[in-house]
Amino acid sequence: MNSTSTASAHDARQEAAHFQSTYAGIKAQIGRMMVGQEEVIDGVMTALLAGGHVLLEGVPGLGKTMLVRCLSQAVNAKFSRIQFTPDMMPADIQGTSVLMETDKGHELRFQEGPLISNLVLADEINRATPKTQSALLEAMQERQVTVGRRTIKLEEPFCVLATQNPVEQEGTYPLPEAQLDRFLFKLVVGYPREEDYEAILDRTTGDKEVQIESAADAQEIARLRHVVRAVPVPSHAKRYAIHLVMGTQPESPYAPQMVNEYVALGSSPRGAQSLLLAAKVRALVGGRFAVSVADIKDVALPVLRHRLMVNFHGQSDGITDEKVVKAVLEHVREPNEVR
Amino acid sequence: MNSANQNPQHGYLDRLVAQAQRFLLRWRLQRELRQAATTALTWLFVFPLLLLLVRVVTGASTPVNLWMVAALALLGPVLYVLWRVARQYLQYRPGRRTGLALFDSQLDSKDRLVTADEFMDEGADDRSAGSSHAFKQAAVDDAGQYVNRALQTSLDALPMPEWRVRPLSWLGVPAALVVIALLIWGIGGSGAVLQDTDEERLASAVEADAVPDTAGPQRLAMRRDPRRTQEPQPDPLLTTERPQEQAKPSPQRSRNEEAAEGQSNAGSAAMAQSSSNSSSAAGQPSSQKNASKPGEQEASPEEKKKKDSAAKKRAKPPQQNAQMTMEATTGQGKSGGSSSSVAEFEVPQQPDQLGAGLKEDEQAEETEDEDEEEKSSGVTKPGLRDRKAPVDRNASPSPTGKESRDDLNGRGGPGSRKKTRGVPSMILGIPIADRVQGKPSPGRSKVTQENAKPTAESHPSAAAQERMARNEPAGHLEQQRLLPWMQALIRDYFMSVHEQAAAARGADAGPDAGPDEGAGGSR
Repeated sequence: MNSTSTASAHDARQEAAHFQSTYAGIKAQIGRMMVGQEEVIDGVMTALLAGGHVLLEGVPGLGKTMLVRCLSQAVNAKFSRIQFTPDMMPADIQGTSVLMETDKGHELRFQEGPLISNLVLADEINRATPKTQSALLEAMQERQVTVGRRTIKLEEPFCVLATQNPVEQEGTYPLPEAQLDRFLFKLVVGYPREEDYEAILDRTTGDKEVQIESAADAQEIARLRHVVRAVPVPSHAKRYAIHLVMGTQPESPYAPQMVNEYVALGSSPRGAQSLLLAAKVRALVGGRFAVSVADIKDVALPVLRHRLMVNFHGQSDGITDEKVVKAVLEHVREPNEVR
Repeated sequence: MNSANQNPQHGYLDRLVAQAQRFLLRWRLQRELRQAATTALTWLFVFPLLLLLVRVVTGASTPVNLWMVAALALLGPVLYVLWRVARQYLQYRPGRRTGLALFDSQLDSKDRLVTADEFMDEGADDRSAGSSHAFKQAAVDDAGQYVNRALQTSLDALPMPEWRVRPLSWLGVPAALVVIALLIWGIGGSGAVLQDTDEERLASAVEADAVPDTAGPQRLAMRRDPRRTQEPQPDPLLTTERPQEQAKPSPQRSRNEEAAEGQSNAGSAAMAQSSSNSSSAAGQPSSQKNASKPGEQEASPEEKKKKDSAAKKRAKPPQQNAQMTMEATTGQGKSGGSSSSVAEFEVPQQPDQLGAGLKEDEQAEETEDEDEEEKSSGVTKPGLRDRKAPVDRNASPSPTGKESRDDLNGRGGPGSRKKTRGVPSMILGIPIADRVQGKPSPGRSKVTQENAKPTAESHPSAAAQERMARNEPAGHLEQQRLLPWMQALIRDYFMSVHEQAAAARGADAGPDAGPDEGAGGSR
């Protein structure tokens, strides 16, 4: 091994170590306010560093909004919150031209909406109409906003953290498939454990105010995203991710019986992209320099669960997205498996 | 070889691969051995069966050694297992990555060895990838410590199926025993017996034909008596009347026997035919071809039935029938061999089956008579012998309504002429016109019945996330409606308050406002 490669390997090790320390720092800051919910915190941070968006689903009162607020404070990035309502219009989130009075007379000026930010909390996203929900599509995929003839490039990092309540479906508009596919993760926020309740009560009802310090900034996050992209994926891991995604598609050679029977729509190739990106973050967090099959398995559930559509028979038989993904994980063989 | 291959780790990985491949091959062969053992017993009977077939075909009469047959039986499973293991040995080649993955899984190194091997193979060509190449180098370096650990580790045993025999495979044991028994006491050692039994069977059949009551036991006694098997005593009838070529052992015997087996099942009708035309049938064995000529096949069923009944009416009693068959047999010349077989197969049927056949014939005649009576009178008599197909109770009439269905014979089942009034219209499943008063027939009501058994379903407690949203409004509070006297009271109260306020304002405005003030004060 020559000196150049040794030097480059040394750089890679340094970058990976920096990534790990930054990750741990942000997580520690969030942990000062949030109690428990380790998986959700890891998921949100993974999505943020992989360059994706997160859909948080859970009943009210579990700290979804607080988690996002803590994250924005920990990364010290521009943060805006949008409370979605049925009467909200696209211009309310994207921005619009406003007639303003200046020294030179009246002038139309573009007033930026809350979408133009680094971290956007789309609270109760399923309460907005499809028209307003669609206004997010371009921003989430293309990282730009087009209003009239004006196209605004969004600053990196840009991350939409949307929340939705699965129980109050009255007066809501379920997210369309195109919108759901743009979320890297769908994280289900559950109730805290018994041992976490005491700490939650102490932190939220006491007179002591918890201060969250920033462990990184927007530029740092953008740089870490480049590091994530540099992590290589060996061919066997790539093949496994492809098989998993194809396993969610009915009638594919890797699909289990449950998929053929109960799934109307499988994951798109975007699912495979998301699998690899998220797995790269997991590999770096785990102190490795390449993606392993275990990393892909770890992120398969939050990546794939919202990209499936269970058909009517599946719904009537009580088949959920999670069951389907678990069936796919059991069915698809790992590469190089001894058999 | 590229620069990456000069890495000492590559040599270490090669060593690991070789070690893992040896281990995997050994494991695979052991596993194959155990899997083959589960079904190996099935092959116990194969070689003895082959030997049996060979002996039957060649007509070998030499005695069979028991130990040789036993060894032959064991040869099947052994060869089967050896074949499976050898095939596995020749076909299974564990891949390089599979071998390294084995170490990865044992060391819990998260694919580090496999990944390092792949990245080393890619070599220096990938340097254009920039920072990605740096990470690959780092990955290879990172795998170094795991390579060292792997070199010092011996692979753990992989899961192996248990030694067991499938239940179905045990069937091979009785099958082998049967074949061995046949070889030793049966067909295999009976070359001489085969030659002797030809004449003996014929003789026993003739005796049985002549005396039906005692034929069965006599034949059994003849067969069971070994002396008779070894020392045949020719029947005087046969020695005098049969041509001499029948006495020599005939290779055509087996073929004749087969032909007789195929032809003798023609039944009593063929036999009756040959007996009634004794002069013409004497030279021809009873054959099924006679009973089923193409011209007769085309005849209508009624004609067939009449012919059959006529033939049955002409049929003779069993003893006389047998006697005539024997007479025809003795005058057959070269076809005597087949005729003897016919006699042999027909004789046991005589006492019981012919009697039963007569009963069936009588019933058939009665049925025909009834049919003819019904046809002549044009009336269907219920309560007679139920020989019709069960009633089709399918409630759906034919889609077009034009097709007549024979199975809907009007006895309880709906047909195309189904009534839509009365009691039948109240039975579920019968479509009736849905008439609503004041409307001209909005359509037909269709009743669908499903044969489904109710099943109890468990109802787990709902998780928090599965709670349903409130699907009803909270409701609104109605304003309380006041009675007229209450409204009057409230109106008076506010009027007085208003007037009082006006009076106060008037008093403030001027001194002349005294009476107003006084009035207000009085209130």
